[in-house]
Amino acid sequence: MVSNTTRKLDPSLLEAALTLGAKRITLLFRVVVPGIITFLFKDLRILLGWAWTYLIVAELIGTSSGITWFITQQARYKNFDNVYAAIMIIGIIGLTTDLILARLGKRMFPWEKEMAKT
Amino acid sequence: MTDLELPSYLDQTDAVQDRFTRLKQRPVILEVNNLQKEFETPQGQVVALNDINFKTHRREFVCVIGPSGCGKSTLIRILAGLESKTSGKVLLDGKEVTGPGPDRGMVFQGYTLFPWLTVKRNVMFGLELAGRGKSIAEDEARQWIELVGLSKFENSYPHQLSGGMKQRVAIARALANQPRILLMDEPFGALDAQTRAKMQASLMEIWKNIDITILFITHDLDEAVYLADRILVLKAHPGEVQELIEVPVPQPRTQEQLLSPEFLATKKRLEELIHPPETEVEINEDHMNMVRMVPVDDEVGSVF
Repeated sequence: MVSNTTRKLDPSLLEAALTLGAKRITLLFRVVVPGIITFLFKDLRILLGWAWTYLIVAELIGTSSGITWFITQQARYKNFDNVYAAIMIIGIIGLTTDLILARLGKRMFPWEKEMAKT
Repeated sequence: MTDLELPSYLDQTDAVQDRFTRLKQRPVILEVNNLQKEFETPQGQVVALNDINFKTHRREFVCVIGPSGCGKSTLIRILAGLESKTSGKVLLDGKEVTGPGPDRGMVFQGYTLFPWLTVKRNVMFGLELAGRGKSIAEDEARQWIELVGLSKFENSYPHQLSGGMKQRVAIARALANQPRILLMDEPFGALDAQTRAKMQASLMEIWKNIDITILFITHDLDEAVYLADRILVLKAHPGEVQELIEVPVPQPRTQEQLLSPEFLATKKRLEELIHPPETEVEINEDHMNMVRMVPVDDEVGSVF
């Protein structure tokens, strides 16, 4: 994922840096890293969503604790109010972590047009 | 334009002639000798540039013009050191150029500003790499930003600026390194006509006031004649120097000169060199029959 993202960097920025006197190491730390960090952050946001989904799916099978286990257990006792509450908690946690990351991104990368919008 | 009586583009007034004599006595900044560039393609070898020779003198403004595919971008990229040459020599101040470096500033058509840096930090980029302290670099950057008239925007990010402003920053950033020569690859190509005219005027103003040699690539004839002391005309397949024109329009240039006889004569000559009559696309009958197959709304009627 990281190597793929690095390829998204506009090569003309590297050329511009070269004509301004950048050498290999400075190129890496002053152009490549800041150039891709916002892409990486966006990847992170997407990956966190995946991670959360997989966690829930994984919990469905073979765990004896955690929120999904709670759901299946409560469903067995027909406590559906608890089941729906737990489902909503999953949703709320997912949404808030994403929102927190979005806010964080806006703070950390004020130059990003797309991030400034969210 | 064809009926108009124009002087020869070779006629120079005494003042212009005198200027060129003085210009040629100045030290040579950039010298290109027998430059050759070949590309390997699946179809075989393609000669992009063939036997290019020219010199630019200190504080001279040289435009490179040519039809698309004549290798003008390749030429400037070789001069900048971003691309390798097959043979020949590029000498800057008599020393051979091997790779990219801060002694040759470059302004690209795409703005290539670093989006994560403010205007000021963008201009400081080269200065900091040159080992300048932060506060010194900051002061110097401010002066360059003021020169291009963007003091109000020094803390803005590139995405907040218009195209013309971005290109001003790019010029300031390249000039801040105090290069021996400023290489510009169709820098105003992406701008609208009015912004372009303004940018040309302010580039002229900057060029007049500081010690900088400019090599400027364009495909716009007006732009070339308006800006250049001399115009290097390339031709395509293979990319060769067709002519090196000394522009007879007196300096300093103004927008009014765009319609002066010398200006039009030079432009006409460029037109002949770049668009030779025989390469005009011929619209033959077969073509027209294809076009006629497209139904036209009869109610509108033909206007021809």
